[in-house]
Amino acid sequence: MSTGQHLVGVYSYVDTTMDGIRKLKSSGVRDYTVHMPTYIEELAEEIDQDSSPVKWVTLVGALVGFASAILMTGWMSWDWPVRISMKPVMSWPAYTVIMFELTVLLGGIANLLALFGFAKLPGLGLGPGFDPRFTDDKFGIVVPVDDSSAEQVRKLLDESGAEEIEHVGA
Amino acid sequence: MSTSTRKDQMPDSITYGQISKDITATLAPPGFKFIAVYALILAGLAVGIACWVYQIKVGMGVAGITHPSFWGVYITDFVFWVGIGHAGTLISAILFLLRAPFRNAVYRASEAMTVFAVMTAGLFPLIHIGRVWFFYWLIPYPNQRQLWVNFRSPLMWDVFAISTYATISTVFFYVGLVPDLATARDRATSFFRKALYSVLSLGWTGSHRQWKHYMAAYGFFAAFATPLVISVHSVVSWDFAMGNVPGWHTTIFPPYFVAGAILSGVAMVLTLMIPMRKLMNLENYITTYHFEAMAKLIMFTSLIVTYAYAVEFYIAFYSGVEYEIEQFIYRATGQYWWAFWTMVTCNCIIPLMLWSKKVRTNHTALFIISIFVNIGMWFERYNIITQSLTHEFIPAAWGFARPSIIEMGITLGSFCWFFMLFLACIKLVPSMALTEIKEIIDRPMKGKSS
Repeated sequence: MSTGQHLVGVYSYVDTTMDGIRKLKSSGVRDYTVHMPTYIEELAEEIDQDSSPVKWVTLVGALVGFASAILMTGWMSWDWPVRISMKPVMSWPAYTVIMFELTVLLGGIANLLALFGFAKLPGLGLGPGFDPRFTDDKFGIVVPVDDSSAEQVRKLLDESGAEEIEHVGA
Repeated sequence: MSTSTRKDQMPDSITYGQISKDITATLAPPGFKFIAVYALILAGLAVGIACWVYQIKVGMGVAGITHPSFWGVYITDFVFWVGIGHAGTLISAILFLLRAPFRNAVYRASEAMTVFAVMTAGLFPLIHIGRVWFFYWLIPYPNQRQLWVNFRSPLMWDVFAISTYATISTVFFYVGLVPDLATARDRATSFFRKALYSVLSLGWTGSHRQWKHYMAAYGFFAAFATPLVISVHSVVSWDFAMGNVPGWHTTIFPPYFVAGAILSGVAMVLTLMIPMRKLMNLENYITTYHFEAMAKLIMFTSLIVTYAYAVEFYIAFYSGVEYEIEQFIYRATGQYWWAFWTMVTCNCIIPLMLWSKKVRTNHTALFIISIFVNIGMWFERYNIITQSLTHEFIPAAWGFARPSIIEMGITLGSFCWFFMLFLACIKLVPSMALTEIKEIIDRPMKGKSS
């Protein structure tokens, strides 16, 4: 149950942040958020996340784009057939450009919407425990706590080398 | 074989905090020089707008668009600007997928250049159709007669190709900006800037969940944009190659156009970044290493373009088609010889100087060469379009098309429009990808075992 309380550990180094994540994991703490000023692959791997589902939404968008291009060009060709000599009304080689472009366009738009959806963007607030330095030069680990767990989590963050530990929402 | 190291790219002493500070410092309110240059640009834009208004009021005749060249300077400008846009996507997407080390420092400005170049290019079909208020006829919507657009036409392919390219490039540009806008938000001191960047950064916090989806999506954008780099200019080349005009009807056009687009685009990146680096005190981040890497791209694409020019002549003679042979003799020795030899000098001969490391590492020389390449690439399109159209099959229909004052005014206006957008952009959003620059410097480690 969320109590609205969070402990925020502020770090300057990648390795100390990594220690913090490991200590939390080994103590059974699973619910935490790590803030990074840039993408650090090792940290992301340590957090051990599932792969992003963005790809599936993107794939569906691309397939819809491809299919809609086939349907649009085909339907419009037959709706007003322009018969020239023995040339086919639906001359698909000429339409491959449209099919390619709509595949990329709708795939790209789906990719953007998937990013927004899964990353919860745009967000109204910056979330509990967010510190402006997390987009600058500091790493942060934010852990939701209650009265009983706060002390244990504080100890873990402290042992891992957190330079500041702040209790927010208390 | 020499390999690049991180030290070639930027000094060792750079830290995350320093990067944020230095790059967000470029967002400081503009000084007098900047405002003066901007005013000059706006004056040039006003000239372009006045020419366009006059053309709309009086008619296309004032632009000198008449037989035999109905595709004059405007379509030259269109192809030129689409080409300029290519280097940005090449640098931001293809070099991202290839993990090219020099990309991170230069891609933001290149991408901004892409978006604004495509916006500029998009104006020219509108200017060229004359009755601009009917532009929506290009969109496949049912009209009263239920007559659909012709999907067999390369001009219609262009509508789809350019719209897709513009959309994907803009989205790619913006998505790349989001983490940097969050840094700008968190460092902003004025209320207006804080509010602006808060809205634009969409609530980005750099949490691991956001990064996970962001990195996945960013990779897909790069993957989508990569074939677009190749396809868009191929489609533009088909505007010509699908026609049976001598000088146009050739299968080498797509790769030739793509290489030319990258050549002109990279040259424009240098034209923009060499002064930008100086004016915005970014010497620590954009170094000779980056400029030299781009100079090598110019060398490479210049050689491809030179080869394509030679092949065009060879195929014309090898084909035995008298119209093609005549066209290419005329191109080099006819009334447009000056345009042809300007193109050859600027695109084939001058870039040969870049074989010298001394030239490649001299910023002034690079800046001058980049301007020559831009001039040469404009003339390449002028040769292909105007010269070919004025010298088709029937000698009685041959002619000479001289660019009109209105066309020149609108061309000037297009450059000013482009620079107006670019300069506004580098003052409003971080002109370098600070988050990605942080990726390439040494990570801050305390030294604990991990």
